[in-house]
Amino acid sequence: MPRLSHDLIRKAYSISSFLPLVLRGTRALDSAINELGWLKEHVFETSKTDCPKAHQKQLLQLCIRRSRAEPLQYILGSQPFGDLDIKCRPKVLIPRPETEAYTAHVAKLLLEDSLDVLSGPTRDSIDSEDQLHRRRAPKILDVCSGSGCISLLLHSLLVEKFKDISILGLDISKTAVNIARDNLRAYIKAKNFVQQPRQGHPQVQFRIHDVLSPTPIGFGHFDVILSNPPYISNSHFATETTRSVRNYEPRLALVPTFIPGVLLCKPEDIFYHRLLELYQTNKSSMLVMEIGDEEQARRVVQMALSTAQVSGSNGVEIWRDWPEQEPQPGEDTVMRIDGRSIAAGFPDVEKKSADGESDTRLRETIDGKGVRVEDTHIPIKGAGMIRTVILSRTKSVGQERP
Amino acid sequence: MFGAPYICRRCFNASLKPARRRLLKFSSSATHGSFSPALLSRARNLASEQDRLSKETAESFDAKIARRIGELKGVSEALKEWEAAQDSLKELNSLLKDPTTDSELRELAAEDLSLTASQLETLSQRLATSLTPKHPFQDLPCLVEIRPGVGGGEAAIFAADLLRMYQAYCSRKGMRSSLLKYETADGDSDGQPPLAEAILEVESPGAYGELRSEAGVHRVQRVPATESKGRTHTSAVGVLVLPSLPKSGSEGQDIGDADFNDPESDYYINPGDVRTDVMRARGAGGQHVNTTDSAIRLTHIPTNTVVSMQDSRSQHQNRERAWQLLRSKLAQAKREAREEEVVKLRRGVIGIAKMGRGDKVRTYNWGQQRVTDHRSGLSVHNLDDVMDGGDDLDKIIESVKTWLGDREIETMLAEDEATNNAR
Repeated sequence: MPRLSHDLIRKAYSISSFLPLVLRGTRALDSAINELGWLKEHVFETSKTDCPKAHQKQLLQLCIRRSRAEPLQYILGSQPFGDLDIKCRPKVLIPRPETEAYTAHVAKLLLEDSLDVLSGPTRDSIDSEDQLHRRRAPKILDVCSGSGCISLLLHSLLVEKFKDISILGLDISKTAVNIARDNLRAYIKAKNFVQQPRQGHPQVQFRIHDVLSPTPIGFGHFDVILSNPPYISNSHFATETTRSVRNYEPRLALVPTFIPGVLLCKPEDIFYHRLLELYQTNKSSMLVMEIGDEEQARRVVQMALSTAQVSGSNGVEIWRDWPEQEPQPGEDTVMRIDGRSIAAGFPDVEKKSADGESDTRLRETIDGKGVRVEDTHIPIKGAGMIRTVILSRTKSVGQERP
Repeated sequence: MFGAPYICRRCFNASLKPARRRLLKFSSSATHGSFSPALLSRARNLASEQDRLSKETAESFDAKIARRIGELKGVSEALKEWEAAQDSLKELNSLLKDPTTDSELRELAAEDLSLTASQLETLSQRLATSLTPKHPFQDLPCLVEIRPGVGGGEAAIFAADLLRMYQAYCSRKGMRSSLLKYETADGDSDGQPPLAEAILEVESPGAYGELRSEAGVHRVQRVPATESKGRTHTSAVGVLVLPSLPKSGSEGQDIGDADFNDPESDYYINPGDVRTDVMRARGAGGQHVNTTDSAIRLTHIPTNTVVSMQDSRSQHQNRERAWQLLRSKLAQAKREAREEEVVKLRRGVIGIAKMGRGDKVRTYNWGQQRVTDHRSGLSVHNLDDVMDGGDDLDKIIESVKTWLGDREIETMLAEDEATNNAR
């Protein structure tokens, strides 16, 4: 962490005597000015007295907390997420703006009907009434729901169109589920909507569940699965995360716990393995997975393509931070995945096998069955860093399936 | 050579210069008791158009024509009343002149005459105002943008004073106002950082019509709080009044052409022309960082209009506010461009009542406790009341509005004359 220059601290002090404290937390002057303004607002709103001296004292306390790099969201106790206000307390991950962006985009796709929510196991026994019902009532699974932000924002955006929508949020942490339920209560109060139980279940609910354990989730199958799982590796946690993330946010929500015996993938990717499994067993229409960086995206895509059922019949896409924006100059719009690495089923062999012949488009698979495997080109949408991997079943494909 | 042994050069030079030119006054005392024939013929034209249109709609209904009739209705009604008053005046005059009228009747007629004359005055005033073209944004809420101009820290302090003045004025007039944006600059004032830009949103409908006369440069002359030697400074603050457009098309159905999806309308913005910039976290982003940066910057590429918003913690809200501001700015710019074109067309016609940011409109002089508006020429010697948004500010705004109306009528007349000459 580079030291703050004296010049910057002096400049901050000349604006307000509280500012150098906040600056120690934010490391940048303009965001420090904004944060000090919000802290002041918070003190005025929550304070019980009108005494300005007491206000100053409270503000000083908050600024000292901020100077120790405690996240502002924990100090103020909330973070705006879309048009919602999500409560945040320590031991639960703070909702990120990137998550907000892709959640809103998924909701937009569902509203535009460009996704086929209908495709699923009931496809063969097409019963028009059942179909109609399913169109009105997509079931959504939010794996590693944390504060519940994804579930609640999706509900608020979709409930107008899908009256019988039902959303289930799963998290391993009891604290997180409690906060998610708090947020649900606040949401119900703010939006003034009545939870209409559908087949005995409320529209939005949060449960404690270890997704990695083999115990089934129940609740039937899900049409859309979203997840913001822990995806940071141990080494990245030590080097790439900022101080306030490392010291204050729960490690459980950031770094996957290592399970000995699972050797199919890197330890930071274990959740994606499980998510792909869920996607297949549920025959869902869409799977949205947040990922950490380009390398991880590549590994996850390879993992998805090498799973026989997923490959071929599915659209795989990668979204950047802001999926609705035009790509900036210098940002790739296509990711090339080596054909051989997919066929081999070992995501990590790609680099080793990339020898002189890697330029040829068509190549034979390693297993010698004579099947020709092409390199796959995955489209990348939006602007910013690579953020999500999307799997979806298209309409035509769904109909072709037996 | 001189009577005095020594005269300071500055005094000498000053004595040679002619007396300081006084500020031009644009008097607003012109009355329209006697109506100009051009205006009258215009009113008659409009009334006859209304008759024709209402006959047309009797057969087939058309929303556009109906709206036009609604607009013309005020003119024709005012004209009818005015003509009736004129007729009765004529009749009374002839009655008075007629030698055969008996004395009792004559007395009554004389009484009536003064009454009708005063009525005629107000009626012709009303006819004139009904003839003034309605500003297309008149019924909209507005955004008041306040920016300090020349004068450094003092200008920033005065900008904050003006903001408070407008807030007080709005709350006194029962108009709902809220701060859309309050941006501070880094500087060296105690406690509060100086104001760099503030945008006040006045949400009541019709606020644009009320406040649009406030646009322009407001000048202040006083000894600033930052001054240690007691010298008077002159600083300026720019005020810009923008119409605030309804958030969605359905809300604004009553404003006629407030349709965001119609490329012809003033309010239309092609979303493809707007680039959105979001504050990006450095490094890996995602779960790796938890910054609170929520700033949004919108750039309208064809006109290079930039709007940025960072006041709220919610990016969503910042984006909405930024869009609202961008829409207002572009609509105003489009309208101004059109007005500019009209001015060019009738070159030589002066006095178009358009105010941009370049024109000094008002002076606040602390030393004399005086506020002078340079357009209406009105001076008020109750500065504190004005700064509190009190009745005197109301008086000033009213006077400017009358002045504006007169200017508009003048331009309209000139326009009519020009078209007549062309014929």
